[in-house]
Amino acid sequence: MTSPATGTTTADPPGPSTGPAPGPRPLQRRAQRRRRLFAYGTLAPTLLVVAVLMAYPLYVALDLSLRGGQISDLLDLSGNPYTLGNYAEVLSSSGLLADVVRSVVYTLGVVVPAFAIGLGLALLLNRAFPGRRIIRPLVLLPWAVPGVVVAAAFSWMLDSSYGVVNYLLRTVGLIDENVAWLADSRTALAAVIVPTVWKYYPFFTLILLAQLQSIPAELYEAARVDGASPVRQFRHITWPAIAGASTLAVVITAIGVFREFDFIFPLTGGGPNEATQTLAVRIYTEAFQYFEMGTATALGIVTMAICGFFLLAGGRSIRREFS
Amino acid sequence: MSAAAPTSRRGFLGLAAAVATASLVGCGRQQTGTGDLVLEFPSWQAEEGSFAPWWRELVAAYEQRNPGIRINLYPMPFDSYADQLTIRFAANQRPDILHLPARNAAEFAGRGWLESLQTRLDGTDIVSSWTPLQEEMASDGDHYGVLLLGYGYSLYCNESLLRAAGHPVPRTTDELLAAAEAVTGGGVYGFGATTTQNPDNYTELAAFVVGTGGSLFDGDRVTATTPETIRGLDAYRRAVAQAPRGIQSQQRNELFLTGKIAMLLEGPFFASELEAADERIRPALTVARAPFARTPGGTSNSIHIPEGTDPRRADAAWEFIRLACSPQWQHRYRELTGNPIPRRNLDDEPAAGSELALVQQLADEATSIFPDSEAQRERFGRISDIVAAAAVSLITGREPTTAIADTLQDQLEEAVSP
Repeated sequence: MTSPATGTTTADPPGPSTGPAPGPRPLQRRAQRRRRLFAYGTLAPTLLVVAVLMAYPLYVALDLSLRGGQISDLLDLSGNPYTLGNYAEVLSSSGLLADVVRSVVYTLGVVVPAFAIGLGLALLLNRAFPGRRIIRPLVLLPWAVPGVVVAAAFSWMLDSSYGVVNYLLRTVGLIDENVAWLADSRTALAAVIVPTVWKYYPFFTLILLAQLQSIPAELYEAARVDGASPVRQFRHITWPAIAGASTLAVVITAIGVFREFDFIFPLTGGGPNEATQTLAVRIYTEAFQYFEMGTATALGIVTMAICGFFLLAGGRSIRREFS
Repeated sequence: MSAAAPTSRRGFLGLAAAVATASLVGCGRQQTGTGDLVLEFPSWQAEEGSFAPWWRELVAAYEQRNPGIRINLYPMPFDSYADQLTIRFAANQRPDILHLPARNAAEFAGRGWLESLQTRLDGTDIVSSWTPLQEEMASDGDHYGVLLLGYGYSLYCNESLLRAAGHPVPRTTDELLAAAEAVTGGGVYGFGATTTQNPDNYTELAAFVVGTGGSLFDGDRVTATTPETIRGLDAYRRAVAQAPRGIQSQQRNELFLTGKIAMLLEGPFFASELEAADERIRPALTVARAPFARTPGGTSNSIHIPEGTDPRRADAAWEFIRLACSPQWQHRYRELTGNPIPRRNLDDEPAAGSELALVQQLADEATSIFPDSEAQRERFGRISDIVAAAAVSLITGREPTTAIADTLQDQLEEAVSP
């Protein structure tokens, strides 16, 4: 090392040893091992449940999807040879693309408005105003209602002849004749999207409101002092703070909606004329109405792959949120 | 896959199905504490209108004749009946006595789920004295079930609504359409039908097609584009144009019973529901012959023994079926339910001119609305969906009927091709 004062070079003072660090003592090692054993021991029941409830059904589904012939006994597939025929049939069918497109349209049709409504309500509920304590739980109420119940309520509201929706639209002069919302191929998908949006927006409200409340008020004060408009405040303070949570919520909701069944099936059964036949509904139809178990499980695996793609697409944000 | 895998799958699925079944039927499969053999018997008719009393009486009589055997008759909803049974059969959790909507019987037989009853039937007069519709219970020459109800369609009318529109009870298809068009208006509809996609679309559309002289199938051929069939499709389209939109059969029936619908086509089993009508409406409700050149009809439900049933249980189940088919209990069926019976050799015929005589006559002369080829019957689920989609196109679409018939022809041909 050269001294700036004298210009002479001196030897470096002895630094810390760069050799391998001494390992933990035997006592410490035993304690570590005990702790590890205890941790795995406490995790074991959960891992076992996950294995039984997720891994094994997944294996059964994969196995079924690779079986050919008429499956008549799920407990004995020895007469059904292995084949890729189910995948060939599913991937080459013109119906699959139509089902995927409908599923994507349904997913976007639900997630985009549900997110917009959820964000708007979260911004509103983040402000102080009279009656906020009463309005908050009311806004979140749809989240607690089971999907089948929502479907039943909306099926009456959307009833062509005696539904309240047609009555209101006739009253304000928007329609002259009753519209068969759920029975007409042109309106059925929209009629199924509306109740799904109603069910899902509270989830966005909940997530985004929690995120909004973690933003320090000083940031907004400083922005106001600097003369930032509300739009600029949203763009530079609010959105960066909620972007990660938004992505996470959108991905989780999109996956949920993509495989949604309990709104569509009670309302339309996938009809009319396949107008609302998403992948989830088609899987049910193939499995339990036509008993084409091989085709149904192959479709299920394809659906899982598509959902996996969604997860990968939003993976970075999800990892950031969870880490 | 290892050879052990089926065993592990059997364990898992068997456990899951057993839990589900146990929650449904308690300890139905086991012998009771008194050592009785308990036969499991799910049915959508276990609590249904006029049918439930007959089943209950029959079960009581059977148990009296067969000490040591009990029948656990319990209800399952019709809407998901075939789906629930499909899951149970696939998981090898089968009931001992199987009651099925006849439209599903061929599919169950095709999957190897029904025991052949041929040997058992050979020792009885059932096949020889039964309605010709019993042939729909045959596969490869073997009968795998016994038909319990075959029927012809009737026209249910609200005479007050028809009179107010200046029309009598229609006797022809043209009269039906004219009356329906005249009645519709002001929240009242001339005709009632299932106008949302549903398995009932098949039966309603096929009733018009068969009634007006057409047919969707002729043997193994699809005949959706013949002039007779297109005439039937057109008649159906004009009739449902006068029906409330977006309703299922239950809503349709409710609207008829509350005086909002003037006419509907249905089997004889709807007659018992007329008593539930509003007291101001009931006197105006009548039953007439379906206004077609041919009486459309079909098979309603049938009884079977699942394949693989333990021999002792199968014998006990067969004794129950035999009792149900005996002249005494066939007579009682007609008496309690007001429906036609499949047995043809009873001494006492219903009084001429009575509603019962009419429904029996319609059942006897009915032309089946269901496919008659075994291959088509085994794929009826898919066929039914295709026809239902065509029905929706006729109800809500603007395409000409001939174009819809062309699409129907192509889709049905694809569905029934080997």
